[in-house]
Amino acid sequence: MKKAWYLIYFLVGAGLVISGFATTERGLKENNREVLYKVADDYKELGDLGFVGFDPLDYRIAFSDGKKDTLVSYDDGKCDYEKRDSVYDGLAASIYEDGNEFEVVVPEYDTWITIETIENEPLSVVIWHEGFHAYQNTYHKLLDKVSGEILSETELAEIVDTDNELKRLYSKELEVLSRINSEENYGDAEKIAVEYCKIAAQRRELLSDQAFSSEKYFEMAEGTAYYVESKAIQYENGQDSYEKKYLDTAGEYADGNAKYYRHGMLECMLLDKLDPDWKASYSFDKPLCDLIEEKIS
Amino acid sequence: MEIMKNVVREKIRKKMLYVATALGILVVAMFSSDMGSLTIGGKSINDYYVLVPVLMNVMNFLAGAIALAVSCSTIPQEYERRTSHLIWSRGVSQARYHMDLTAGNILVAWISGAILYITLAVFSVLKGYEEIIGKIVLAMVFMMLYTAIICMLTSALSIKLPTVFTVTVMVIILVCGALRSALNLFLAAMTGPVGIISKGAIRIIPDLAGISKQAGNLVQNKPVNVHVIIIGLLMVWIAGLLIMLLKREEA
Repeated sequence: MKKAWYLIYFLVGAGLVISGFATTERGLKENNREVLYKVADDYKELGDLGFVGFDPLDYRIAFSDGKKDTLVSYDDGKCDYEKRDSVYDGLAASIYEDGNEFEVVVPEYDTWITIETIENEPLSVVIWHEGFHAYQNTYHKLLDKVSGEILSETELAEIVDTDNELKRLYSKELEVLSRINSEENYGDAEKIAVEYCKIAAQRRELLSDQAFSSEKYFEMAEGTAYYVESKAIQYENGQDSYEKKYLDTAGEYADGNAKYYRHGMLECMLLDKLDPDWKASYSFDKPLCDLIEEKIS
Repeated sequence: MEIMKNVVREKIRKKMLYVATALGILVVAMFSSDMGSLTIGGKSINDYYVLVPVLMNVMNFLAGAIALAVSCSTIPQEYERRTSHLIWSRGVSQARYHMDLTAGNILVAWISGAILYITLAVFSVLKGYEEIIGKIVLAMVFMMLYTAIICMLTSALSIKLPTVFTVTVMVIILVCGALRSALNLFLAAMTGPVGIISKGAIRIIPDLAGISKQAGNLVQNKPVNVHVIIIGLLMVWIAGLLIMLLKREEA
């Protein structure tokens, strides 16, 4: 009897060990799945943020460890996934065009948490940002609309960040635009827009066509995505975190492409004041500054 | 069976269940009545479906603490009172005796946990969320696993270690297990030998946070991770094996 009891006990243990191995996460890890649930929860509250047809989970999300991608299709809580070789090396947050379909590529949660801890930027928010790029290119064919060659970040920085007058005027643009968030300027959106357009026109004279269109492209593509990302942070992490991370730094000049993110986000905020419905008809076919000019003319 | 019943009777006499009831009412009432002002990660919680998983985490931790308190001295006290000798004379093996005492402790911990969960169910009704009751009842299974792990590990350690060491080790296991997700996040940024050792150490601690998380997933209609449950059951199995194998020399 005693032997039989021990035998049963060991069989149960063996069963548990086998089941443990069988259920080990080899495909989509639970913490990656949780990130998708988080985005879905955000979406219930935030919706398309005014950009008609936008939902970050409409696109397949690839969680990458640098060697293998776990490519997930999310459908109302159900996650179908497949494995493939990574399309980008190392830590990448971007979009990837697979045939005619754009996918979002982000690092795995286990990799991202270090950045999240330091930067207080959840992976779900990165999916909102990159998902918006997938939307821009799927829904509005943004890349197809770009005329001429876009300069790389390094090439553009060599032109813009080394010229003191260009830097001064862009800093001024950021300063004027960031006034849209200060209390004393509420209601003065038109005044801010007029002042901004004046400085922008002055600065335009100093830029080549290629540098100008490259800047406007980054403001439009990255600025709107940064604006979307900021709304997701505001919802996920609260107002204090949003103000600290986005509003407090928005008016500051930064070398490289970061300034275009901030500039574009501020332009979106100004447009929100000038015409709350601007996003419904915006199809990424003109720079945000042109749209601002149209709203005040 | 008699040994188990005796343990339950004794714990009831010690009013452990009243403490559990009082704690349950206090915690649920505090969180529920102050729901609007409660924030997590800077976000206000206004939905009971968001609050209930948080409360389940707290309740499982409380039930775990009760399980620890109930279990840490049961076996040592039996040996101190020499009750064990009366049992041996009736031909009951040490393994069976320790198992029965542990089963009694588990039952008490489950009753305490159930009281906490019933309080939660009552407040859900009072807040107008009657439909959530079925899920709260189902989620009690996770509390049962949570407390069984704590009861069995505590009982196993208490066979060999002095009570003060058992309590110290188990408090570390309970706290680290309940905060395992947060610790993983904290340790992820650590590198070098300290980081490797810390990450290794955290792996052997039962994933109590994961078990509570599955209870929350159940309430929020999210898929439950079976692997976490199986590993929890494996912990129970290992602790059970230790209880059967470890022996007191004075017996």
